[in-house]
Amino acid sequence: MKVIIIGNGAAGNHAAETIKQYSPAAQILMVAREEYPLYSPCALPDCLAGDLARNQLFLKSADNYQSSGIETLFAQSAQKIDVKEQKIITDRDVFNYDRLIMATGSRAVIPKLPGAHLPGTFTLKTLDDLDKLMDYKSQRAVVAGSGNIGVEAAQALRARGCQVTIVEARDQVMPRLFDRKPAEMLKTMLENTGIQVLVGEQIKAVEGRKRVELVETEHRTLICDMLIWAVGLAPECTLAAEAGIELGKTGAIKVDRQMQSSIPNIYACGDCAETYDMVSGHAVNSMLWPSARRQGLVAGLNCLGMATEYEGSFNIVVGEIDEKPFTAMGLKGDDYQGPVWAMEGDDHRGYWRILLDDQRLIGMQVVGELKYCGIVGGLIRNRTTLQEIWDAVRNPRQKMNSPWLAEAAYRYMANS
Amino acid sequence: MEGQVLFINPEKCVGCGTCEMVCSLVNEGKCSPRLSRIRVVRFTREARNAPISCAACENAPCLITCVAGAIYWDSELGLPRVNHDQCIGCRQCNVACPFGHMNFHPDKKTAYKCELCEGDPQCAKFCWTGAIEYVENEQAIEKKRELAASRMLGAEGKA
Repeated sequence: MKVIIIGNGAAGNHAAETIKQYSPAAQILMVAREEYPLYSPCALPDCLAGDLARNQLFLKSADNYQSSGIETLFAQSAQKIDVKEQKIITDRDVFNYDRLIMATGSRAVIPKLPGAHLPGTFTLKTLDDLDKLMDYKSQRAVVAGSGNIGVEAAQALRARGCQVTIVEARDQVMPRLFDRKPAEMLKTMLENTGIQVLVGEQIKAVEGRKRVELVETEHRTLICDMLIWAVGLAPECTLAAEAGIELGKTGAIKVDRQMQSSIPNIYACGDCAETYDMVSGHAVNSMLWPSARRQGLVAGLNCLGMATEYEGSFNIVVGEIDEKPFTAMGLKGDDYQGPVWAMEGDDHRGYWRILLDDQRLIGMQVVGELKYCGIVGGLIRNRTTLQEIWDAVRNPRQKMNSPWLAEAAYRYMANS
Repeated sequence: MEGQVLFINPEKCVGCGTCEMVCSLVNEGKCSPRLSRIRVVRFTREARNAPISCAACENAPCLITCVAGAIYWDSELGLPRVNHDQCIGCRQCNVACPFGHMNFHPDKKTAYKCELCEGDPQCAKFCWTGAIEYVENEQAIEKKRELAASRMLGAEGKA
């Protein structure tokens, strides 16, 4: 069987490894636009801050592909997919496939604004982006967007000695992950590290003669010599859309539970696939590493005809500001349709917030200490009710079966 | 070594903390429960204790979440392990572990976990109540079965 994988990220590689593991005879061809072997895009800010050497970003070497029997075609982009004839056309060649796995990933969004592409404006998504950023000398930087990438990039630039300003269009930092109260805490923590945080301000224009000099927002003008766009990621689906593969509401490739797209023998996984959220059940475009790996595995197995179902994406993001970790899991309370009940706690160890909808756990946000968060995360995944937790904790026999659950319950829920 | 697991019977644990001391001494060079891989959860009110160590999940959440490629599967020992040079200290695995086992080193700023002392777990060696044992996989299941059966027959604590 001949499998072609488009994309060389976490999802594509995990799919390839899975196929090789279960069917060593399968022929795998990996086509990727980037020339590098697999690297970790999540660790790019660490490298920017100087905590990590550039060569440590790579998770595989070119030899690893060869030794595991994966044919590679790097620095070549697939131009067209012929769905009827089952072949793909790249810059230089045409290849036939029996199964096609789309793992094209995502790209950083650059808003359509005057001057948005001036020299000195960057994104932080690929290794090329990082190389360009490392070569550029900057004193004052503006980071547009305060998602995970924005916050990490801002801290990395701060560690390099820049003056950093974060500009966020919504009225809180990390608007997709945190509710208002923890977001306020994160904002204060960011400000304590010396980063200026402006929320509720939209960037109107970027100006400069040869390179970025001014960033105009709604209320003020910021002088800077570098601008990083971290306003979001969009799935890279042009190729799929041109081939007539159905896209979902989020603009990503619509897949079923077996990661198969609307066209037989074509599978999608990773950032470019639209899956559903494990907790809410809604369609979601999860752009997280663990989801990508899991989806790659499921797509790989289904390619080989081993029916496996994807259990849904679970939102889990961990970060750190000034040595203080924070995490957000599951859903966010403010955007939830329907009544949400929040349990909160604030002590010397930190702040935590557990969200319940009608007795079921749906999300958790923690700033400070992460102890036992994983256990609550597991309970959210299982959609456990509060009653079930109390039953398990009050019954001594059950308690010994799951001491970690009891410990977490004491830590988080005993006083509420 | 392959096919052997840590078998923990919390009913036998008295919460003395010997395992924590030995673990930190062997692996970190000092006696400090805070640096121990294995941790004892103590319920003082009910006088019950439970040592928690790596469950050696086959589909390990820590391994899947690791963005730096630092956690790898050791097929010889049969559990995930951390490559400390590669770890970037992002704490994803701390949050992902559903047992609360994955630990974070306060000084080195990397994740660390039970690595079975290269096939000779000292906690099992020094546990004097027999709560922690290092046994064959099949044997462990058999023991668990016995425990469950004795409970079903209402003989809890006698087995």
